[in-house]
Amino acid sequence: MERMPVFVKIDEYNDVLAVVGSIRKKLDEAKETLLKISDLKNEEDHQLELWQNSLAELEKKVDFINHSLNEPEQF
Amino acid sequence: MSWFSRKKVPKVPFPTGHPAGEGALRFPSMRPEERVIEPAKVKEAVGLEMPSITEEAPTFAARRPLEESVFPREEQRAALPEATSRSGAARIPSFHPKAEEEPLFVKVDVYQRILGEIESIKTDVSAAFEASKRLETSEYNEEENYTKLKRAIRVIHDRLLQVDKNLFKVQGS
Repeated sequence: MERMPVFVKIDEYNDVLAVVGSIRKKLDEAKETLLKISDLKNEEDHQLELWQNSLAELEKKVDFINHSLNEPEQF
Repeated sequence: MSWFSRKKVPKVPFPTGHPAGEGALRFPSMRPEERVIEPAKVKEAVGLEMPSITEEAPTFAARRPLEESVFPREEQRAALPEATSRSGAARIPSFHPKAEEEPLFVKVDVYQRILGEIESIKTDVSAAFEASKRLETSEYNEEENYTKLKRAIRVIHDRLLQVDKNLFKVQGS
């Protein structure tokens, strides 16, 4: 017997196509937003690193003052 | 009437056969209608049945008259060569419909794949929602830590100012 292909009927497929199009648009928007977030995060990481360096410098200076006040003979 | 008397057999006339007509033992000339599986049935068969509120009863108003276009009438079929009439079923799917109301026909395996992809997209979207929730929580923690850090820096600054004041205090003032 000849094998007949079976097809599925999709009614109102234009609506489906429209929804898929809007999903694609939203997906593009989400990708753009993610890129912006990624940039912001990089900037934030940079600022955090600067902050960490400043704190390290501050710690060094505070240590120096502390030592010079507590053990002045060594200086 | 004794028990052993001869049994009377009713006289029944033998059936008289009648000659078979020309079309009596022929298969019907009309081929069966093309099988159309509605999406809900395929979902059921695939096991992806989900209750849908907006699911409506299928309508066949926009259905094309397949029998007319695909299966020629008896007198037309006689004029057609054998190969042409057999390949008529392959003309069912129309992927370039002209009218907006015309339905689209896709093969069952393609349809099943589409359903599978949709399920996988649903899973991905759920995972994205979960990730978003976790990010919100972590961002809240991050904000909290930033606030703590700012407070600590301010305290350090105040104390430094105090030390500075003490160290450079003018004698006698």
